Amino acid sequence: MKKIFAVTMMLIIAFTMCLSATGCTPAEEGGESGEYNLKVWCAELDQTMVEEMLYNYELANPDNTYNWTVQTVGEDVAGTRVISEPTTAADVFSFASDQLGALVNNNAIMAVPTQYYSTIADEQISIAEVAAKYNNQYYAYPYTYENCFLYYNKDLLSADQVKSLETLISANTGAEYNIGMDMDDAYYTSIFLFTAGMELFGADGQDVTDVDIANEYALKGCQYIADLGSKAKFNSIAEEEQATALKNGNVAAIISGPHMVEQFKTALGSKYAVAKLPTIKLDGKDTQMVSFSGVKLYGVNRNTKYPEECAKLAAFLANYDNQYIRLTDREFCPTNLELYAEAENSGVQAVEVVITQAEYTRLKPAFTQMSSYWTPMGTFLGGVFKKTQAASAWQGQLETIEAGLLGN
Amino acid sequence: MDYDFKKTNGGMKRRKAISKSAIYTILTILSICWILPLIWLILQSFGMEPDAPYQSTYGSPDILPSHYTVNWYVKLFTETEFPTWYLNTLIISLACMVLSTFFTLSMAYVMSRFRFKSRKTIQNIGLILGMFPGFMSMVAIYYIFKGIGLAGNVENWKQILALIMVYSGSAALGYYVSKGFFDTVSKSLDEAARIDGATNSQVFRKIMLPLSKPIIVYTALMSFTAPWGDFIFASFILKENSGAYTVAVGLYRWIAMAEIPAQWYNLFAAGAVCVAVPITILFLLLQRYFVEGITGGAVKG
Amino acid sequence: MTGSSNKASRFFANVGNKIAGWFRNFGRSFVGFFRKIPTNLKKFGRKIADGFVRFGRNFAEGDAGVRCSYFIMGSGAFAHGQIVKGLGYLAIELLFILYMAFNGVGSLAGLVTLGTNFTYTYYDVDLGTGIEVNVPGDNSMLFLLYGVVAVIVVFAFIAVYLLNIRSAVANYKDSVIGVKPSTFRQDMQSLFDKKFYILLLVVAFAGVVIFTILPLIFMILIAFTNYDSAHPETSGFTWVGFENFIKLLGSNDLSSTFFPVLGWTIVWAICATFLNYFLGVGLALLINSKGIKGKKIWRLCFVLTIAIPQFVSLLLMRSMLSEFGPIMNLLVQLGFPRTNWFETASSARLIVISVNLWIGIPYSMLITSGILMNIPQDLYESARIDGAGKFKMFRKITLPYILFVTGPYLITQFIGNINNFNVIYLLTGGGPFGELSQGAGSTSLLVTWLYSLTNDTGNYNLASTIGILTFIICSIVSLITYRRSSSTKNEEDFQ
Repeated sequence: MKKIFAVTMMLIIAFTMCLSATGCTPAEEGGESGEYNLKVWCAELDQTMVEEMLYNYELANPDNTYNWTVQTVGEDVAGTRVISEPTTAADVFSFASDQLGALVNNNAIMAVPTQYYSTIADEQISIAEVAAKYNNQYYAYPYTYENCFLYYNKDLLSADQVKSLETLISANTGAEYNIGMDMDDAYYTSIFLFTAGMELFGADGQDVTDVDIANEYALKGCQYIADLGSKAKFNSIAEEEQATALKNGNVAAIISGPHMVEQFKTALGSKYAVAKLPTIKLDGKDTQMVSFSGVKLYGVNRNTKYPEECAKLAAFLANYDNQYIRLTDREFCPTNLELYAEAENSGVQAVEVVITQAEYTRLKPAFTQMSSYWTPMGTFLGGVFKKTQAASAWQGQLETIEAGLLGN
Repeated sequence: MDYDFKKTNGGMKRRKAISKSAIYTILTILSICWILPLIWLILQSFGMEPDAPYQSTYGSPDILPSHYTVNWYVKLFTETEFPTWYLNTLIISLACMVLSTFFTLSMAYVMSRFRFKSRKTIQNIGLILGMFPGFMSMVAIYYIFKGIGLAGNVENWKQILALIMVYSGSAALGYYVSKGFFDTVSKSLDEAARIDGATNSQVFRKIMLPLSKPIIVYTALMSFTAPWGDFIFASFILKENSGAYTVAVGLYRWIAMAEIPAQWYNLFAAGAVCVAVPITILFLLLQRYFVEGITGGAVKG
Repeated sequence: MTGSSNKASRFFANVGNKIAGWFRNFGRSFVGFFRKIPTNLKKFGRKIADGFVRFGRNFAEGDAGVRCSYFIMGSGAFAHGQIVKGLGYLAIELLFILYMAFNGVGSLAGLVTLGTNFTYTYYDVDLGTGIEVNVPGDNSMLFLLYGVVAVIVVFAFIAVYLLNIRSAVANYKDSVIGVKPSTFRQDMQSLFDKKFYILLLVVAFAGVVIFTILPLIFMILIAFTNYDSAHPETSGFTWVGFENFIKLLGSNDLSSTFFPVLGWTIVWAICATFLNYFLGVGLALLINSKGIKGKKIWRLCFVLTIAIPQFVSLLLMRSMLSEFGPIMNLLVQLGFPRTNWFETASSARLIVISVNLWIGIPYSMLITSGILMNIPQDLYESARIDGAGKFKMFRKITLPYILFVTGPYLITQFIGNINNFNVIYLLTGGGPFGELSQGAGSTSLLVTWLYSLTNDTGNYNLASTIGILTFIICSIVSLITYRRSSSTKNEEDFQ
């Protein structure tokens, strides 16, 4: 036994010697000035577009040579990935605004150098400027704004019918369901609570101490959701099935975000139409639905070897020209003030609708406390919809969620 | 239970016929249940929306596509990274086949033929290790590989090497079935050879191996097919480096993590068929060895 | 009439007795296992004590060569003419000293502290634009890794050191008797002959140690830290002792997730294993019954599913069974209301068990078919001569034979199903999330929960804790069943 053990261990000693010898991630020297190896992360559907933008960037900087590595990483997880593996993560990455808090707290993102302040402060819409800021410091470069709106099949529903949720549900469309949305996702179900008057982190969403969820507004929203559960023509449809359902005519309308534009356009073809969110009847009054909104930004990895160059690249990717490309190519609503004003009449349906909806939105907070919001609220409101939560339990549940948000 | 043999011949025949047809019906229904999804997969890989040759058939109301095309296969091999993945997986599985078979058989032979002090201990260790969830060590392995420079921001071939090492490294733990097989080979052959003056290694090479064809084929088959289906380990170690993906990781990412699953749907079906066909052919050709391997090991197990 | 009802009641009484007996045995082995622990520990302790005694005695009784080798490894070999071996040992000693001087001591210290300097930043005025530069701090993960490696190296060195002494003693004893100590060439040759097993074993075993044992030790250690999403390795994590286990098993949010998941894992393992097994055996018997033509073709139909990579078939099933998928569409056309099977816990659980049947029955059918084909026909011949009917032959020969041979298989399947990740994760991702928290859903197994904790949220310490608990459960179950089955294995009687 000892002999086998010993000989085996000798092999392992040799192996581990190699391990120790090479040490941790080899320290690469920064490239000579003019040569850059940059890794960029973008969403899957953006890849071709981003590669073109990078090519244009190269043309704009002919004195330098660039070696690009473009990888597709979903924007909702890019931030987490950068935090957990800073050395292999991208140098410049696109992420959703609610991850900013975590990125800053984990020293994963590099602050915006002063020379780019004016681009953010003066040339972008105010909500984008707010989204790029954390603890009163700019950390990222905003480039698109998004919220929720209504997609519908214009062969089955008219533009008038989709103005109010009640008329939508009672319309005679011949489809199995008139309208569907993902009722297990707090991003969408919170709409009903916000419409009823609930606020999250204060009126402007920036006060981390102001958490008041277990109030009458939230309960009113919950009641509305519970009532929806009994409506036969309203159904909760998971996001991955929404396109199928629209295509087969199982559902006539869907409430979702602009990331579904390509899918729904393919699914509906010529019957594709969009509108801002309908109104719902609360206390007898028609109230416009209020949804979350979000901003997507480019961030620079704090561990990058080329901080200056990356800041320049990120600012480039978020500049006027590239926002214009996104507006026309991918129907992304720009954050640049000038473009935003023009986009309202640009004929790009999804963007026009986003702008119309813009005044009835609340920016997704970037506080790290939000991680205690999404899942608990999602499961709670999903339960309210499916009637697995008794009405008497709502108050208690809301208070638990509130405690979680405060105590974190 | 009383079984009356004294029934008339005619009645017996009829009962037999009824029970036979009942069995045939059940078998037919079950076979259809089993094969139907596979047929659906194959059809989807050829499926086409009418008048739109490159549009996905994801979510069509019809169960079977109405039109057919080979476009997906063409696109699979010309416009995607699938051929690279296929090649990667082929290299990995061939290397693993050789290495794993060697490790497993060595271990099994030793445990079967030799008696030494620590035999029981090693047996117990093997048993215990098998009870940990396999990918609990995923994170550790990733860091170990990163430390020696085979994971992270490295070239593709290094990452493929890492995968080969991961898949074949712990092959020795799967010695149980092979050991059962070796136990059935009579020891008198060994003794006769040793009386003639052969060393142990000669006994292994010249006598044992030729007799163990079924179990060698079984072990090789199992270790060859494993990398084609594993997406957990590979996707954790490779992360975003799509040039080094295996077929399993690539296909999985298409269908499960894509922003628009629809755009990859038929490609996924085509890719899956490309993976399934060679493996199925292998299995059919070697079915005999597969069954012998499982039962041979299990009998003595 | 009364005859058959008597028989029926006797049959049920038999079955009842057997089940009761099984439970009694289970309990007995369970208790027996724990009672044996102190005696085993005593045995182990005594072995260690003996080792120390031998250590001292060898020094006292050995010759100069032996005594020198306590300090300069290899001198025992040198003293008796084994140059190459001696050089080898000496080289190892030097390497070890070098390693400890440069890396080892630091790594060991780092193992305790797991890093003290963490990432900080400063404004680099040279860059002139107010950009903050990151100075990477200590990466706790690497500290842990190097520390473990250092510990292993130390242990390995001790083993080689003892080996060195032993060979020196053996040389001394040989010289006393008058036997010439073996030359290097002779040693090498014996590696291919008497000690062939070492050669084969070492290579195979080394792979296992590096790729299984080392990472496992690593992950077990992580279960005692606080390495989670709030403490990524770049910000440093530290030891927290048994805190994670207490959190998981105590009475709070985590434990109210852990025990339901554990319960469902066991229910799932039992259902999946036994249903697959019995239905597979039944199917094999059907195909194998007399007079059925085309046995090979029938078997082929079912075996096709084995050849397809599992994740392909599972993803396929998922899209077919989705709320707006083809099967649901078909049912809606036939008049059923549209339901989402993955939405409620009970229907999701039924779905996973059913799909698992689709995946698993071919395996057990194949094995049973193989066994059925191999049952020696003379057993049946002699039984028929004795006048046994068809059913009796089945009950007394076929069934026991099958049960006996596949008994161990059943046990391994049960353990495997506890860890059966693919089916659940690909079909439901853990199932409807609503009743449980912390990333676990209603169809989550311990392993899928482990995976989502690792991959999605980065709570590695919790994942490791769950892994360890899973292991403990599996090992208890298998230890008990293996002991029982090894005792029944000795009964080689079929008649």
